[in-house]
Amino acid sequence: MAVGRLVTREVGIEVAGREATTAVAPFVLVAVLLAGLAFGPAPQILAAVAPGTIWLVTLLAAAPLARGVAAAEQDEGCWDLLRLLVSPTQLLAGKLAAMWLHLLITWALTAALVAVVFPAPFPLAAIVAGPLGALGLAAVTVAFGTLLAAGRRRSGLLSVLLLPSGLPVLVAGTAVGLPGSAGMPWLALLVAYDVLMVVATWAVFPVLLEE
Amino acid sequence: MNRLASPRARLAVVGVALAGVLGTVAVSGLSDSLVYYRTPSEVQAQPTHGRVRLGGMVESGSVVRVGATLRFLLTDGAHDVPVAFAGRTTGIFREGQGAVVEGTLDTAGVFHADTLLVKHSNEYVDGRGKTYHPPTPAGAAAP
Amino acid sequence: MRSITIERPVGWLAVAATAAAAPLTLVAAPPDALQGDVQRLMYVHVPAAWVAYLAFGVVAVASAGFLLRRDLRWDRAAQAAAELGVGLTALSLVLGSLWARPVWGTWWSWDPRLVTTVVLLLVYVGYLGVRGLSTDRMLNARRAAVVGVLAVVNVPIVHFSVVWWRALHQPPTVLRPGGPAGELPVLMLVALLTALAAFTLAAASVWLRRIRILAATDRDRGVPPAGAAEPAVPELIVTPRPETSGRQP
Repeated sequence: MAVGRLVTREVGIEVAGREATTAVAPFVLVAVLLAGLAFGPAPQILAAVAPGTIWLVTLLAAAPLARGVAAAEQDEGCWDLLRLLVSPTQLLAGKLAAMWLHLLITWALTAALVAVVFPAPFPLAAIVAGPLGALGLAAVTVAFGTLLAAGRRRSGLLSVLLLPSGLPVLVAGTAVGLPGSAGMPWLALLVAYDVLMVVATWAVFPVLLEE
Repeated sequence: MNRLASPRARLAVVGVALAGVLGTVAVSGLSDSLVYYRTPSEVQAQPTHGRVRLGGMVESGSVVRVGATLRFLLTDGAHDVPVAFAGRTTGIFREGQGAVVEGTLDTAGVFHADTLLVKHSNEYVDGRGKTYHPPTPAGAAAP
Repeated sequence: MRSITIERPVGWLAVAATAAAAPLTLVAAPPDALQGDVQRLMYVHVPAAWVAYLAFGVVAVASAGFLLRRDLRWDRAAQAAAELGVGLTALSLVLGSLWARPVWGTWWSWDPRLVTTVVLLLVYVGYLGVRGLSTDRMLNARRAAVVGVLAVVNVPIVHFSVVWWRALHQPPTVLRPGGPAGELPVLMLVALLTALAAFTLAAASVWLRRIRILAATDRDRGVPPAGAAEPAVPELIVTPRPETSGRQP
């Protein structure tokens, strides 16, 4: 199946270049450490800000990941070839799956660090929220990453376009992680966000490949 | 696959998904579980010890200023919560208006607020004619 | 050109509506019993927000129209509406903040509708930013249309957030089930509706003018005329006009 081969290809690129890993892992480590210092040693405060820190760091890490959506292909000059060989939907499925994986790893790394460093309880709903939030965020990241792949002023535009679009994930992911919060409505909100973002990205992706 | 290849079909799918998702969220009872502030009845039924936002109407004749502290009763028609607020009041804080306070409930049942926001009802009353409608309880503010 | 024939009467109607709205909102409508004259900000804040939402609706429709038809007329309509919407959203936020200070006692509240309106502003600033990325006019238009479609999802969330969260922001006064009866004194309602008409007409007039100017700019830069996705004639055969030929670097 072509999509499976595209995902294998994305993983292969990552293993060979380690672009995303080198961009994201140090950022996550430093961000969680600095957040812990910023919010102070009081354990109640740290526990209260833990869910928000996890999703804030994950959301901010989406910006460097978006810059890498088509970077390897453009460096090697094979982006046009790839666009010719596979259909836009297959290419999107491959990119989306790879980005989902990237964001899931980012989220899991952040959550594990926060759970250790902040000490914070981890409700079950918050673990379900991880993959759900990462999926919708991955769709937006792929869309804006492809859109701004060739722009010069892209980093400012990326933050203005991508980060506010991920706001529902930040809000719902944080709310789910707070102790004593109602999990279901927020998970439903995440599902709604996923559906809308994946469908919207699928609809506009062929246009992004026209260049 | 070909049937979904045209831009028209793709945009139609986006429209259907948008309408479907928003319709589902609007129709389902999800909005009931999302609460921006608690009402006095809710706070008295299950007192929470963390930070709470409490919203209600400032009961007429209950506002007393003791030194720098403002004391008043916040009501939703069924229950009252005594509130102590140490701070400057800004805005059109007055009796009979809605207010949202943020703070903690002590063991004696007094709410110690550090933030006071005036929630004005969506009624605009003629200032010359002075026709005064008694405001509806804040609990009924959600449509 | 049809747009010029519409543009003039719309402009005059906007002038007439503004002339009617100014005395109605400033003098005839009574001050609010609790808020006093500050409440008159409603006559600017509410219409600005309304026209901004309307403008973003136009961006959504025009973006979809461009993706379907690949006609730059749709793109110019979207760009003009987005510029209008961004300006009016900013105006509405600033006025709302000025109104909230005396009434709520705060400049800013973490209210869902406020937050999502700021997000709207950011997304459409990004939308306008995407248009300057390339020197290729069609590429810019395609990218902008994509952002326009992706942003549509945000507008309903703005509306629904009022209903979802029991928020500090008061529920909408006029646009709610049951109609305006018994909520607003008649003179206030008349003043508000006149101000709404004035804002809408003025915005429509500005929008039409902007579209005409954008079309003229496209013509000067030698962008292929409406309806043509690719130039019908190879560029070498077209005799370049001095100074205006070719695209700007």
